[in-house]
Amino acid sequence: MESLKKPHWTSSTNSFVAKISGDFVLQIEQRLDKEGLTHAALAALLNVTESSVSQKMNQPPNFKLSTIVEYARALGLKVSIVAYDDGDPNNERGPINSEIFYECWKRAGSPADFFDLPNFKVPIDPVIEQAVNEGHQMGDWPLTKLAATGNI
Amino acid sequence: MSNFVFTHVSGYSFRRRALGFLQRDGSTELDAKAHFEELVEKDANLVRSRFGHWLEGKIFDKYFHGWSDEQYRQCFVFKWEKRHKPQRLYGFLCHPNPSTDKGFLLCVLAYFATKDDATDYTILDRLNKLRQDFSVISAISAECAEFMVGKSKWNH
Repeated sequence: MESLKKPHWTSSTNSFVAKISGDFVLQIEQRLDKEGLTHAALAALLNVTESSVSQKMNQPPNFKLSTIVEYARALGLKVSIVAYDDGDPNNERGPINSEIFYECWKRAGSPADFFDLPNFKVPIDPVIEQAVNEGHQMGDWPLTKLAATGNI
Repeated sequence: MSNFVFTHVSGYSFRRRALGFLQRDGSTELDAKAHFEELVEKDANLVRSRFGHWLEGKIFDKYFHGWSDEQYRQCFVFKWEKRHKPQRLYGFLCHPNPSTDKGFLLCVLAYFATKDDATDYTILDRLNKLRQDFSVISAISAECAEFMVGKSKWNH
């Protein structure tokens, strides 16, 4: 059953931010649990007060990007910002949990760049492809063809 | 005639799970909905985020959990803190679409409580009574038509 109650609660910018901040804080809380760390320990790593950390964990604020990076890096994590099109331009279903992207990334073998992506092929310039198909060596190529590839 | 009223929590797309509030006309005992609606925006966003995490299939006991004891297996709680004071929304779980979507899970929220660390089992006992109350089942069925059909099948 898919019951759409419109609008989604994240329809305002503030509530959308609250949702993605909540997703981030959940990831931080999970990392703390995994490492056996408390809010106090994280505060010590960040050189801030425990109450500052607890406040952010219990009431996720409108984080500054730099704060997000500091919290993640303190726990040995990295952060990416992902914009995506999930076929829901009016946000009737709300944002995708950031952990879903993380899980997909891990299941794809934790690719470090585009070359590591499954079935990724380096796009070949059609001019070069034609030349290769015609059996030309690079040294044989006329300057006009090389110029067309952007390689000179 | 049932004087219980069940309403889905608005603002979500319910794909695999759903959330709703149970109220009773003329009574403030079932106060989950009233408390939720009184939350200031910041707190409401926090609670809605946690609702969202559960609806998405996340498991994280610090934010919400059930109980493993057989007796309370259908009970459920959402948790958050306000000024270091634990806040709770208690409810029970059920499967409202037994014919078309057996795995679909509904959390019916009934009670709000502030608490210390220990679970108040009297709330869980009250939830167990509620979830078996025919008037409550009727109220949920008004929104989830298959629920009553499933119940009458189980009772025979």
